[in-house]
Amino acid sequence: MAEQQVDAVVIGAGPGGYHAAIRLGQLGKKVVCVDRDAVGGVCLNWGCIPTKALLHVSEVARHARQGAEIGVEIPQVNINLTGVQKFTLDVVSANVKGVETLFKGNGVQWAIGEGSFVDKNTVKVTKKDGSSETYKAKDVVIATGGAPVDVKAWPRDGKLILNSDDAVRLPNIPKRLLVIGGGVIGLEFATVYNRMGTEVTVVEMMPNLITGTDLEISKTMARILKKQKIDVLTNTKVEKLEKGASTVKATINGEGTANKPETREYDQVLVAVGRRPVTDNLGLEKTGLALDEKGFLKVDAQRRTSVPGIWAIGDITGGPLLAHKAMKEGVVAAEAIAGLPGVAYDPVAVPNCVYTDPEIATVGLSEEEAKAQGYELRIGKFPLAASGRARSMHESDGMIKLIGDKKTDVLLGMHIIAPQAESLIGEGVIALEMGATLEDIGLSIHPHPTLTESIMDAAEAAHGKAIHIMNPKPTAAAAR
Amino acid sequence: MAEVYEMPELAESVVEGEVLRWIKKEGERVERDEPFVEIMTEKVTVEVPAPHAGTLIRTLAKEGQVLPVGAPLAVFGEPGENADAALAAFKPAHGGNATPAATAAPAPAPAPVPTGASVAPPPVQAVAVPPNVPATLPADGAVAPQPVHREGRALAAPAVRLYARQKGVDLAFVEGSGPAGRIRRADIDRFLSGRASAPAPAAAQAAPTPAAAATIWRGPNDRVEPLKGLRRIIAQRMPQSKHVSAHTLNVDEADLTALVELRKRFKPIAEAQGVKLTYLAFIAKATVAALKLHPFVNASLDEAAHEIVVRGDYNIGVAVDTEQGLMVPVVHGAERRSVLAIASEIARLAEAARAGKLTPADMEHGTFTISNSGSIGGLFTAPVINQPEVAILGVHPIKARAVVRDGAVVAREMMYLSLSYDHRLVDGALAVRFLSDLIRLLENPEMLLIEG
Repeated sequence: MAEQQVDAVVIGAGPGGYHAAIRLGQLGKKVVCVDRDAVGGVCLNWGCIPTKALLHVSEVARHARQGAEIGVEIPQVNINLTGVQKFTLDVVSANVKGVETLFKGNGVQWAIGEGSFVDKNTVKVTKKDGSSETYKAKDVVIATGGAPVDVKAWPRDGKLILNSDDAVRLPNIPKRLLVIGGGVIGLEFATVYNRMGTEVTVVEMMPNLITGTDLEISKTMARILKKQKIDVLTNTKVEKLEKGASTVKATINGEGTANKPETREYDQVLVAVGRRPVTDNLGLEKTGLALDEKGFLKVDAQRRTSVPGIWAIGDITGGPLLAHKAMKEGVVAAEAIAGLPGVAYDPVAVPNCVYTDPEIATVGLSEEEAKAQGYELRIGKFPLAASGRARSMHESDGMIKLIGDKKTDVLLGMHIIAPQAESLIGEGVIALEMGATLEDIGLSIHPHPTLTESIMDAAEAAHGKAIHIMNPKPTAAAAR
Repeated sequence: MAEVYEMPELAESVVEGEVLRWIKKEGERVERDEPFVEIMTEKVTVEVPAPHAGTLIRTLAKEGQVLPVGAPLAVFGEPGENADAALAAFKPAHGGNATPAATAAPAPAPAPVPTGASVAPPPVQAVAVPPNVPATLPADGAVAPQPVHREGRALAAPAVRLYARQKGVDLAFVEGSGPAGRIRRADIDRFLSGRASAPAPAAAQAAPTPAAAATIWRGPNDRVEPLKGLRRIIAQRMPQSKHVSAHTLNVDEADLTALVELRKRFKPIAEAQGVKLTYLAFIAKATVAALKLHPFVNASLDEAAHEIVVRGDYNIGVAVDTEQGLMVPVVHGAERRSVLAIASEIARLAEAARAGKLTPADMEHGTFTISNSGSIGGLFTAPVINQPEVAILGVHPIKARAVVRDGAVVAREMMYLSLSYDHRLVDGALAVRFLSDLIRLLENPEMLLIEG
């Protein structure tokens, strides 16, 4: 059994892990990155990247089908599953290769196998063939990420009952799909399949989709999805799943079925009720580290755990289970390990994107959160229907909503439903981090014609002076 | 549970301290009263004892970093405890930057004071105060505003937040000068130099640091050292003094032939008493006599209060060259001391300065300073006034030079004397008169029997 002394071991090569490993390499550390699977983790292989490929494919299909509405007639749109799968895998492998190249270029050693602690400074990597190697390091970064939550009553079989790992490989296009869970992942797949031609039902237990999102945004999205013929049932539960030979009978009950149990038949069921941190087989008990009651590791602003020399980043540390959060944590932990002064994970807000059609992107406080925190609000909204650019894209569904502190005019939150909302939200992130006011946003010249100018319009609307929509008549007190 | 330990107020009216050295590292265990960090203030350097037994779970400042009194310095607790939680819950006992009235002991531990009589008196060692400008100036004026402590988010860009962390500044205490109260990088710098949130006029009063803030090039053969300790203080104080005072220079010469004779005569007598009789002791004695004739030279100007403080004591600071840099201990009550007693006190102070053993009392309340470069060389200097004094005397080598006496060229023991004075209070005529009287006394040392 080979043993090697290195400066740092990163367990997990997902977005958090590969960021930490590359940054450590850049900072001159001898680092080895361990993953049982491929470089890139869930993000590159099973999550962010392949789902975006599928979303793109399904969007092209939708545009093709709707071409006639804008004078481009495409007689027949066929989806060739093999072609879609190849495209998706090509995208994944290009990204994986990219990270591998960066590993090489930055001197990051790469070990494939199951990483587990022998003690707090020793990590054993067990390979598929049973052989193993051991690494000793002063610092170990845990970046083991998360996995879909399985529901015991509805075990995943990969054929009738799927989780996101199955769906992302798009084994087939079912005629009827039941998505259990109206969160980020459920809605993304609902969108993919809907645009592929599947009849989709989304069942969400909570009163609103994407719990925690600004209520108005969530409700607007529900309306848009319904318009797209996605059956959205909120405040509703799936009580029973009965597997048949090639279909599943689901008993659904709640607000969506007028509070009467209803049995519907589906070709497939996608369970997307959330994700959980993964620490299985990690040997945490050998380090003295303990998970909290929710299965997370407690960390400080530099991502130190309670055991000196052990660091944790990404899903395992709780908070939003998002790749970009893990990435920043990875960089912070790497720089803290290298002793750079002052580094800390201290975002004002972490943006969140949902790849529905159109997309949702939010950052900062929702209207409800801001009120709960005692702010008096100044809200600016702008409907995409009033945007020349949106109209010319034939994509007029959506809105921009800015939430500001009435007292200081400082931006508290930005919420967008729009095509490419995920890119537009970058402006909100910067504005929040810099402490911008609504006035700052309104005074900044935005290019025309774009979707981003609607953010400026929304900021102006907050002050009652938007040009492209009618502003509420100012009361005497509000006039300025 | 984990507890935040604040920068203690190590001496009266000290508003900040510099972390010289972490004696204990993060994660190390400390016993109660065991020194864990060495802090230097403008008055004392102290090895600060731990408030109680525990683990130093977080240090919040780098070595060489300056924190205001009351700012979080370290977190103590048990291994595994979260320092962030303690910091989040941290409520300063002082309200951050010290005000003159803030003498209360910071929680959670009693502040170790240099003279601490009870448990484990912290060792007092190197004490360094070159021109002590800020000790009095900011404290008196309107430039020391009440510290703020903000609840919730401090508006600052990510790069400014990083800078604050690097400087160990808690943004909750910093007032932002930007729109909507945004905190800018300059606000942090101002906070650090004790001028938190001071508006424009105070900015003008700041030392002219912007030039220094510009990037200075570094060549491959250069050596880069941290600016810290005494050197940092001197670097800060000197330009401050130049900025505060209207420095003006008067140079004259004195014929010390008689004094040389006198000293030669008394030297063995002094040596028999164990004292090295120096010219400096005579000069200090003569200076006191001259100051008595011209009280405004032994004074301070309090512009903020619109007052002139004419000193009733004659506390003569003596510039001492040490390995770490310039220090100015003070001969207190020089008017009550004989030349011999002054000589012996100067010797004690110089020794203590070089050994790093000066006490805060040795450094305080100077009223006039003498800078002696006589043993080193040079023609004459233009010394920098030791604030808040209004003049400083430069004393130089005594050399035999050809001078004209009664129409004939003769060799005499000559010395140049320079007086840097603050023209805000001391006019040129006064300066010349003062220096002339001093020269008259030095040229006729027996006059010291009458006027000294």
